[in-house]
Amino acid sequence: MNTKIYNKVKAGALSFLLPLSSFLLTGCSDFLDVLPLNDVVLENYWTKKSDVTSTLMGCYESLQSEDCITRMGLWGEVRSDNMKPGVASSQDLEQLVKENILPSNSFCNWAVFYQTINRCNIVINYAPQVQEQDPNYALSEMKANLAEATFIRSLCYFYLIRTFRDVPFSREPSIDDTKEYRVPADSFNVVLDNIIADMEAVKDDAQLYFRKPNPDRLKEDAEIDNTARVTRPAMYALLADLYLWKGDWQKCVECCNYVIKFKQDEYEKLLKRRLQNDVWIFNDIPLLMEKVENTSGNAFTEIFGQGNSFESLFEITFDEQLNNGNRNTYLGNHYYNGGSTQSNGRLSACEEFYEGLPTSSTELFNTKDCRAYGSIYQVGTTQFFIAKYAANRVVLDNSKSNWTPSYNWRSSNYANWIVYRLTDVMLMKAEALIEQGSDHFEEAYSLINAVNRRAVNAFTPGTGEVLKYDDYKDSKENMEKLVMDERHRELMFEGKRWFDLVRTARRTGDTRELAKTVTKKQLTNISGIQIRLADPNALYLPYYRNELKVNPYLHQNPAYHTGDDSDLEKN
Amino acid sequence: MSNKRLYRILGLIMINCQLSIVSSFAQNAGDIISGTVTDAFGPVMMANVVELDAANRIVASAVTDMSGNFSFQLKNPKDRLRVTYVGYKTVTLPFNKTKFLIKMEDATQIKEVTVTAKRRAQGSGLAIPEKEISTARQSISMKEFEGMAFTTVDEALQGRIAGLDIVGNSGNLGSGTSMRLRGVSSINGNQEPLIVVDGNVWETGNTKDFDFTSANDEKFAELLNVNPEDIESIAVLKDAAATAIWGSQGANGVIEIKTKRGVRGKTRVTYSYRLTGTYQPEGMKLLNGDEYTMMLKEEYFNPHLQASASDNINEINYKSGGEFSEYQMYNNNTDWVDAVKQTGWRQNHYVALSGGGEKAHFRIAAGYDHETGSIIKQQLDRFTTRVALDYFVSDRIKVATNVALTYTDNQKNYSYKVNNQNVDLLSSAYIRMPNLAIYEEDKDGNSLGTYYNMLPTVSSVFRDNQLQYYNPVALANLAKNEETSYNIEPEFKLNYELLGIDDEKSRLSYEGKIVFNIFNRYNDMFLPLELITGGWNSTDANKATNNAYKSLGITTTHTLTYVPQFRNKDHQVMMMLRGQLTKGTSTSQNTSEYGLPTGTIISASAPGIISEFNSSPGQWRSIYFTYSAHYAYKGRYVLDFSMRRDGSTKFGDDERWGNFPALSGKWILSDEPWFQKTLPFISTLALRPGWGIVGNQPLFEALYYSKYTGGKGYLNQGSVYQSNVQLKKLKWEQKETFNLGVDFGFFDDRINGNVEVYKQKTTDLLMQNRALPSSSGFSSLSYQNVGAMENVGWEFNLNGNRIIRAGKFSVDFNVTFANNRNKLTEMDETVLASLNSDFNRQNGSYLSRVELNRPLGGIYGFRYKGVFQYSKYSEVEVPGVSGPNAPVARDAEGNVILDNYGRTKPIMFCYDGVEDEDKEFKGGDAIYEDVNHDGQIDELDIVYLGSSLPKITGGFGFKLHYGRLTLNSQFNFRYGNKIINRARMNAENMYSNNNQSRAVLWRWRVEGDDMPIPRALYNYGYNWLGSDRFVEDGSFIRLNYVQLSYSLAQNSLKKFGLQQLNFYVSANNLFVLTKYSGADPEVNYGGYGVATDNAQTPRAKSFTAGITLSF
Repeated sequence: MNTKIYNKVKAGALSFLLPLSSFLLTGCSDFLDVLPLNDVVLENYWTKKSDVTSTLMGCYESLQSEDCITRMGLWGEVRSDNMKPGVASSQDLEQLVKENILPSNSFCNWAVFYQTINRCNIVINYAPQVQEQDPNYALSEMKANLAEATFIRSLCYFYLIRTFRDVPFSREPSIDDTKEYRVPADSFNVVLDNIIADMEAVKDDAQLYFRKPNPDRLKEDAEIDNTARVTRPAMYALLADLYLWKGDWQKCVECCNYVIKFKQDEYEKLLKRRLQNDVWIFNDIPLLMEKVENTSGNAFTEIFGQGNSFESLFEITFDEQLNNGNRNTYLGNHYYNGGSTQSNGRLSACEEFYEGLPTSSTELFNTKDCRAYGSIYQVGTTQFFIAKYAANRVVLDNSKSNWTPSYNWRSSNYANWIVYRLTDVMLMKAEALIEQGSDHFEEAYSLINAVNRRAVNAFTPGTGEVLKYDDYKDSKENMEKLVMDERHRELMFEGKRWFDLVRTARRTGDTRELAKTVTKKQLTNISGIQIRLADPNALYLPYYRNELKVNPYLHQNPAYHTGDDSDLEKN
Repeated sequence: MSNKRLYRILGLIMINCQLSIVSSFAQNAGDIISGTVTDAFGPVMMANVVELDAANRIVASAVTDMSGNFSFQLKNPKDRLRVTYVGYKTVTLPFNKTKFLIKMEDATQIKEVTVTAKRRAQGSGLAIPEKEISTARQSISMKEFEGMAFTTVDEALQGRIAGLDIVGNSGNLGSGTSMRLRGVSSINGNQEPLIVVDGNVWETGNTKDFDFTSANDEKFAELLNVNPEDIESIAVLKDAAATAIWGSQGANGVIEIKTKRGVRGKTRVTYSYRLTGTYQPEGMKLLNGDEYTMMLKEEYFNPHLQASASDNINEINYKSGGEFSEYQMYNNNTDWVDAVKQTGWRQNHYVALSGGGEKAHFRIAAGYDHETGSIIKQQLDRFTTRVALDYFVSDRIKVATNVALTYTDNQKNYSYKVNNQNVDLLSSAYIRMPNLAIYEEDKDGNSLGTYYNMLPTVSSVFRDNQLQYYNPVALANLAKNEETSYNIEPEFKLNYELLGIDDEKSRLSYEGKIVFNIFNRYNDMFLPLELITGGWNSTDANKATNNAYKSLGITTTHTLTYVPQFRNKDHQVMMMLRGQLTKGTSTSQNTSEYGLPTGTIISASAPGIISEFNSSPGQWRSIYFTYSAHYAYKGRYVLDFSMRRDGSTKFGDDERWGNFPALSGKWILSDEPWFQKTLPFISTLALRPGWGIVGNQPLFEALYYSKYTGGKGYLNQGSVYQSNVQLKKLKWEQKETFNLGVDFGFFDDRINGNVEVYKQKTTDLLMQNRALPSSSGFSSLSYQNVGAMENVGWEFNLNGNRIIRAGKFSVDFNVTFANNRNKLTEMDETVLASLNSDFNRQNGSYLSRVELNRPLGGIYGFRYKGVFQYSKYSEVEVPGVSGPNAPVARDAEGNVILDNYGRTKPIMFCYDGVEDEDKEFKGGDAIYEDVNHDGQIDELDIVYLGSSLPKITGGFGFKLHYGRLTLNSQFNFRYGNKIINRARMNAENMYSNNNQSRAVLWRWRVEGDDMPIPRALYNYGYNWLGSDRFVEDGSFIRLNYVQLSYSLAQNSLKKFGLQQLNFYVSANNLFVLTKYSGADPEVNYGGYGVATDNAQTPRAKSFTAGITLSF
């Protein structure tokens, strides 16, 4: 084109356009900033204390979600000898129970734990900057919040390593798409050491009480505030558990001592007056009594029926009064189908622990062990439902020689999920003591016996006791078996049994005992499962298939290797 | 009129305007100007006398009285005087005196007038002469469709535009079509072309969960708002150079619609009426009650050969004599499909008034449609009106306004979901058990006249399926689902010629426009208790749902057009600069209640139990600037350039603005002097190369923010969490197109057409919900730029204009066809892996694969090879016992594999080491090809079965004229695509309690049967794995419409004062030639999914009679 003409034209055009464009361009950028109408954006968040506490509540809420609580329950329990399929089990669930686990099994999906971890990472990342800005947000409050978030994050990682062994570990929050999300897994020990370090750093920052119990008042339930959120004793309980897995017995005992001491002091200083009808001192440790007046079952009702009991350390709490729609759907679906009469959930109990009661003892339970009746409910001759959590009250009439338990069934899914409680910590300590050698057997036995005495209503030492120290004191194996059995009895259906079996197998390096134990419930293919479990890798779940598809740095657990997974690894 | 005729009869002579010669002296403002207007016969009454200023604005005016006299006060002596009267030449004089004597001349006496004008592109860009258009663009005048029975434009366009593939979604009233221009070029963004009406884009915002790949009702609503009768022309812009001025909005092509406006002249009234009858084509034939119960008994027997399996199912056992209280209700042969079909009627009334004088043009049109569906109880009422006014303030200033209003009342059938699948009347009629009665019957089988619902106490096998479906006849009659919408779109426009109106001088014009778009939609639904099988406390009993959506969009546009003139007339330049600003807001509210006290209260505002109550607000904004320039040298070398700058709210600060340039040229060879000498029979030949880039943006707002959302809370404290991953890196998806077009015409363009070849490369493909490793705490990124895709194709378009002429007889024709091939050229492996599903070992599922260098839409499955005749193998057939056609493993040569003991090896389904009888194939089961001969049917036997993308799409049509009689027919076709006929799969699988098609009568029943269809198995076996048994060729040719029209001669109409009278009859969708066995081979295909026919209501067939008259 003729440049002269072109220039002329251009100049002409521009002179006309200038006023127009200046009119249009004013505030263009602001005009295009459309803020979302239903959400707050990062730029306007993290300015005040309540922003931190709200996001912290988001971490707890994530723990409450169906996906999370279901996995906490199933991962720790379903592959153990405790559980069988109930009615209308899903295919995925049945395959877990039958040890026919494929990477496509939806229970291998860990997404919700990382969702919780990320929420914690976000709180930990932003809380310090809020503390600088908001004068109402004290440093100690901030530290306490960080400790809570650290607890929840560590707990999630702890579940993950116990279930998958090696998992990706990150303390960095996921905020935008510039971060590299395809990361390799870190080994079990690396993750464990990291979370121990995290917990050690903040263990004393956590609050002791969210609401201090008032000893002068006869009726008060401060416990709900102090056990629904993470307090200092809960921090120590988790640390004790971590050390137990690490094999650091001394540290484990120290942490347990802190918790036990705390409960002793709390009872003596604050709650003795209020709890004198409920609590008895078993081998120096205050525990809730099963027997109150003529009936037994009180401890069950308080711990599992009402929840947030004196013995509790941390429970994921569902509050029926609040009506915020949060329900414990794991228990509702898997242990019972809500309703005033008990109906079977997706899982049921194994008969061998109960069959014969109440007339004759089973291998696990004595006829007078209240925990048997609180855990399992026999219907007819062949059906054994899970009663723990499903019932909110068990009544055992002490005047009868053979107990016929009567239950109050929960009509809606508001049972709490107990993460740590006092007897768990006592048995952890016992386990650590036993591992430290025969010098500590007696002390360990005292703890175990305290738990057992409570369950069989043996209030006076020496009378009515079921366990005899002489049966066990001679060998470490016996003591180990004793503590495992006691944990089995005490913590049945609380998401602990499978992890206990795995921990023992890791310690001995031998999975045969575990394989023998968990195949007792199987009807078919027993030898096949035992062979499969001989591979220690098979104690852990495979990585979820969809996770492998999007994360090329993740290598499938060799126990679950199939041809097409290796293709993905090439990338 | 009578005056004029009189003059013509008398044969008037021209008379020159006589002016008294008076010495001229300056006049002053305020002087009274007076005069007389006469013609050859004396004074002219009611002539217009005005004072015009320099810009031709009227500043003073008067009208002559009975003796032809006028007077007014002069405003400015520099102005001019103008006298006009209908039928006379206009007289313009300077104000050089105060008294005028004016003689008018008859205008009809002019002997010859030559008007030279170039046809110009009727679009929203530059008004480029049509000949100089250098982009891929095809336009159609609506004159071609006059008298056609179309509800919307897309029906008319079907098969007419090369490269535009239009597929009807379903035959339900108001369900629309989906359109793909030049194939699929984006993964899961919107793929519909942009629809522009008079330069305005219909924007109502979209809610977050709106799925663009499947839903098209919104688009349809957009088209529904334009009455086809109001349309003057349609242009389809295909390549990037053509759509460049629409920037990111036009990334999928643009359909520009121009509506009619008033024209100067006498007021003309047009009225048209059409009556259309529609009916459902014959679909699949179904089993009757007796055949159904027989089949069901076999279904229950076969899995475990258990004779008593169905003994307790009363509903299929005809237990009379008081054994089963509902006996009479389950002993029928009900044809449910017949019960919900009917003949639908559609009436269209349309009136238009148009006309105008010197100062103003107008067109007022109104249409009213009333339509009943071919499925019972569907009714659609639509009222459209469009008022277009052009007011010429002066020659240089024009004010125009356009107000369109559409009201639609669509009474639909109640739709509900069973197992997350939408159920409509017809689909539930196809699966409902045919032995069930429509009406309740007494013990002797007499109808009681009330609708019968299955009782909740029905046998447990029916509880999760048959019981979930409502009685379709009852649902149609008792439930309510009404959607009403109002759309008002006022437009105000100002045109100003800044440098005068002389074509010989440089011109600069400004256009300012503001458009409001007001859209309201209400959905009211009610489900009465009578239909509910769950009793009073069911959450569906007396359930009312009210949904309201309203939106308001405002768009302002400023356009400057500059047309310079050069001394050398060989150069022609035009350029345009446009800026547009859009903003809008919307809100939607949804209330749902159940347990309303009586069935007569059907509003969710009455007290009931609230089950849903939510509202969602939305807003949208955009800015763009467009510059485009056109240059032509000697009218045969053309160069076009355009540049668009788009501002989007959907990207962060760094990526907010996208620049999209386009360049195209044209060389008209046929205008070269040497060409005309050498090849005189070629009247047009032009080459059009073009290049351009357009962009695409994500569908949702606020992606670049890190958002904090409120959760349910923990304990008594509220909770907040970060709900997304902030997208800092997200950028525009870019589509670069190269296009080469050739226009040609032979014999004075009597045959003309064009060929287009193109290549599109889409880079930075936007993908929604891109999966993230969940170890990040999130399952997906809402969007990411993930790869590249390529589309290559060609289009051919040929028109013949009166190619055969013999006396009164002549023939026109049109042909288009097109081909598009797409493939994915670049994508991260992890993205591919997450898009690709695994074989889920379920019946009925096909694998979808997205692979590099492969087209999208590939179908993968097993190869079906018939039915095993026997369960037991023997080399020689023992009739009724065993035979060679039995499920035993064979090697590659087809020899039976035997083990050491001489035993055969059974064929298993996905053997995983656990012996399981369920996994063995038996006699009567489907044979799938064991591709790797391992005796197993598993994922390794899955093969590629074909593509859901057509090889060629297009259409052709003929127009035969004989005198005033015209026969017009149009066909469209698709060739070479595969469809998964899921409708047939569901009707032949014999796997559930659903009714099945009559084809299953040819099923395998006993050992030795040689049948094409496997045995019936209730919830068992692998007889309907995704295989080529249900993958069919979707090629077809459809007679879209055929129309016979007759227009009466104007002479004979004059007596009745009429100008035009046309009659026509037409038939739509008369027949389809296809091998496809389903109801309709026109099946929609989405982004990377496969084309699946889900037994949607097939498109209705229709016959129309109509009349158009104007006076």
